[in-house]
Amino acid sequence: MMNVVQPIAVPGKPPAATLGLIDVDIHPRPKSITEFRPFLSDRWWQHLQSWGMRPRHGFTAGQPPFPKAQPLASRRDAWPPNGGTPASDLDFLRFQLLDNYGVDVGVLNPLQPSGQGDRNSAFSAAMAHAVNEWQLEHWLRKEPRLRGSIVVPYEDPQASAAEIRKRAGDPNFCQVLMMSRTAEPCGNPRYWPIYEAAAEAGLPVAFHAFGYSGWAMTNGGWPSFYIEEVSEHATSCQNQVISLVVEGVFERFPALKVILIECGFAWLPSVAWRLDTHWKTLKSEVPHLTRLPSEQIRQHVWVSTQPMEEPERGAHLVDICEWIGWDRILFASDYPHWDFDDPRQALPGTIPAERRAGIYGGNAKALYGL
Amino acid sequence: MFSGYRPIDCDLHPMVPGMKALTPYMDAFWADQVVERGITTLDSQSWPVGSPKTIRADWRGPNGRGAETVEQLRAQVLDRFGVETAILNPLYGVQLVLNQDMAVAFTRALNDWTRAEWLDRDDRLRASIVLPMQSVEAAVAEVERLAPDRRFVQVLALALGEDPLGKRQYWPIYEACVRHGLPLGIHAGSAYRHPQTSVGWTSWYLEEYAANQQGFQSCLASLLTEGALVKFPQLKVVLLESGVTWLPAFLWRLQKVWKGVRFEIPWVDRLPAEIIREQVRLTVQPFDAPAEAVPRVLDHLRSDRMLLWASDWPHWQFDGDAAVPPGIPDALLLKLLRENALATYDRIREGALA
Amino acid sequence: MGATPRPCTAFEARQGEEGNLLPLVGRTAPNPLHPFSVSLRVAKLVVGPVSEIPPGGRKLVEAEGKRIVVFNLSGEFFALSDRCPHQGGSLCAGLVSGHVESKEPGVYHYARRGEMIRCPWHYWEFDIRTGKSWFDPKRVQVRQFPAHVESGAALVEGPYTAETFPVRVEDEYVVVEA
Ligand code: FES
Repeated sequence: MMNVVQPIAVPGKPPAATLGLIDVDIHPRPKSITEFRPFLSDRWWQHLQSWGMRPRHGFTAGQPPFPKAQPLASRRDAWPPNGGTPASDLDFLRFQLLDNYGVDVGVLNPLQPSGQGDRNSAFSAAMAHAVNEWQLEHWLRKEPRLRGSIVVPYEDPQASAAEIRKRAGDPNFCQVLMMSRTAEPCGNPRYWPIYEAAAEAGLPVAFHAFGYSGWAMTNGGWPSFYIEEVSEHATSCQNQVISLVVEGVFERFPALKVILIECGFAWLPSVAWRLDTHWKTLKSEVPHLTRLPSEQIRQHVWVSTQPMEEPERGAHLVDICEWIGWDRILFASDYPHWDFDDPRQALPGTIPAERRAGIYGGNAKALYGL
Repeated sequence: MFSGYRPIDCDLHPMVPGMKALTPYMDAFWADQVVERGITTLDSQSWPVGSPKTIRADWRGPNGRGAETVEQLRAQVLDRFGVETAILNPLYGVQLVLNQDMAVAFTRALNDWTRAEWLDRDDRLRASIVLPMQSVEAAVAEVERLAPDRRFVQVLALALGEDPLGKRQYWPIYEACVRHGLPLGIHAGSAYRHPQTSVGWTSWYLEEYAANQQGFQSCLASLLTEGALVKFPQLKVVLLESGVTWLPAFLWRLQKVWKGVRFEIPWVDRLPAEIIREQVRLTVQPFDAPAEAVPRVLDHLRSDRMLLWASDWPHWQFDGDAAVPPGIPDALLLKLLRENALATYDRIREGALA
Repeated sequence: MGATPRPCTAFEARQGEEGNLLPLVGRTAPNPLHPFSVSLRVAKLVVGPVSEIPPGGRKLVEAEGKRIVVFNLSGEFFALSDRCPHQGGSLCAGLVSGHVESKEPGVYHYARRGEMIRCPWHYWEFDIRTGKSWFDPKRVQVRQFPAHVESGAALVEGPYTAETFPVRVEDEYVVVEA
């Protein structure tokens, strides 16, 4: 079977990307787990060998509870011709993504295996450190177009804060990475050391849709299908935004910036309105909230495009972008995953020409200070 | 306020004053259990009595509670708003009970209490059959027991239950609904089998209340993907107190993914949004959007048949008489206040025609 | 079907208000090589000897600025544009699978193994025989080209000769009208 083909259209970035093309969602993987070996102590390397990752669900060996639609949830044409898994080969990633679309800056979000959300917090911390070193060694020092995310063992907020402080000021890293499914709602004060360290370092905190909280994937129990899991990524992110606002995280850390990556975004106005509406009747419970929730969201929350909701009428997406704020929307390809967006095709025709440059690059430049 | 229409109010909540009120509707064993074991109340954290949301301040009685008598209901809603027909959705915490036998006994008592204390006292009133979801068999039996009384016009489950509502074990209930012309009402609230979010327990009631919005999305996703809606095309689903405005974005996402992974649910063989627009209805208190955004949200819904008016009495969703969410255009009022409800509830329609 | 190339149906659909939302590259990034460009000239393309594409196999060819993928379904040849009408994923890199339908929830009727091509990106499925998408067969289609088998003898005699490889009179060749 033919697995790899040449790009169809001539390489090049979208002409509307006049402020540059910044892709905020790329998922590198190690070719093999041994790539992490130099960055793990003997003790944790042994642990990894014996036990592997132990996320908050029952399967081992990276098998997800809801089998993906494709192997490793990846584009079928993203398996490198020289072997290895999708996005494990820098040269092929350059060829298929960076060069092909003219990506000026690509932000790495290592998802798996990264040890985030592992049941063993000490191991999670060791892995986070290793994954960050691995990003530097295998990607960031080799390719100046790439930026890394500081992977943190978020269920151990103190260790997370230490990892952030260790990387603060290193221009290779442009954000802190958490998964959207934490074991408790992410606004809970127990996570605040992470936000404190991120705000102090001037780094945004990105929540990437994924992870296993250990709780049922809906607040009414476990669903059956992968298509439901994909849908439920949005609901878990909605809960996270609600939690960040209601717990007062943005009031406590006025400099904090949060990015929702791969969470969709058309739901955000509804969540903001809901909080505004019911804050009015429930103010007495949450006196620590002094500002309208929708204002807090408008000021502190950014979203990424892929996977963009697809309304039946394109104009409806424009309404959503207006409500969220055009300056809050960042382009993401999600390479090499199956729901990848081609930068030249991703934005619907209804999005006005003058807004495209910001989405493609201008907004991310301003956010990350690139 | 209602442009002269006599509205149909699709969501009201009589509140059980305490377990003592239900014991007359139990057999001797359960009535004694209630007393002997000191089961005083099943009030749920979904609706804390002291919460300003649960009972609007000017609708509270001198005892601090509310929605306890038909007289209150008449004065605060029925007569005040000229309501023609009103559907009672009791939210007493029988769904939270863990002992299945106890749950069935208490739920039957609750439904009988609703019938005797409310339906029998004002002929404008209709009610939902509260389902003991702890047992599908018992839930079906409860539907069969009460369906002959045409004043029961729908069945009622909570959005945040034990398993997503589309799961096939629940289908005998939906079969019974179709058999008797009863929509499936799904109301905000949790049976507390799971945290209120998929990322754990919330600290604040505001978070918990907001999280119902996520539960409704999960319910719909489940009813659609499991095939309940295509299996029972006559089944109407009414989402009560859902907030409404989350629906378009949810559909856009689900439908997009379906185009690629529909192989997983091949029985869903046409656009999910179409199926949902045909079979799902939502009450509009609350309607979570500022007035200026409402017309655009309505456009996103792409249907003027889906919305049903409700006062949500005694919950505090509006002040004074502003019972229609601001921003709703006049052109929608007749449908919103009457026609959509008549099209949804066979049993109200037959009463209106009689 | 006629041999005249036509713009993809999905392209047409995207022009309208009810369109499938995603714009073509061409609208924001005019691309001379783009396969949607309409050419009235019909070229006969000799894809290769029949033996080169065994049953279940496929081959990608490029001509006249078009990329075309040719499939062999048990001896019948079908040619589709390689470009997915959604965002342009290369169908040749996709998964060939069967078609599952259902008369009722929980019942899977799986048939036509090997006759559906799934885009390598967002997994939309297209019928290799018709190019039609499963979820919206009227509006979302992959452009199809007529394909058939001709003898080498006929090809050598005719006006259309393959330039890139020698045609042998005694062999059979897959030919696409593009
Ligand atoms: S490019 Fe999206 S399905 Fe083919």
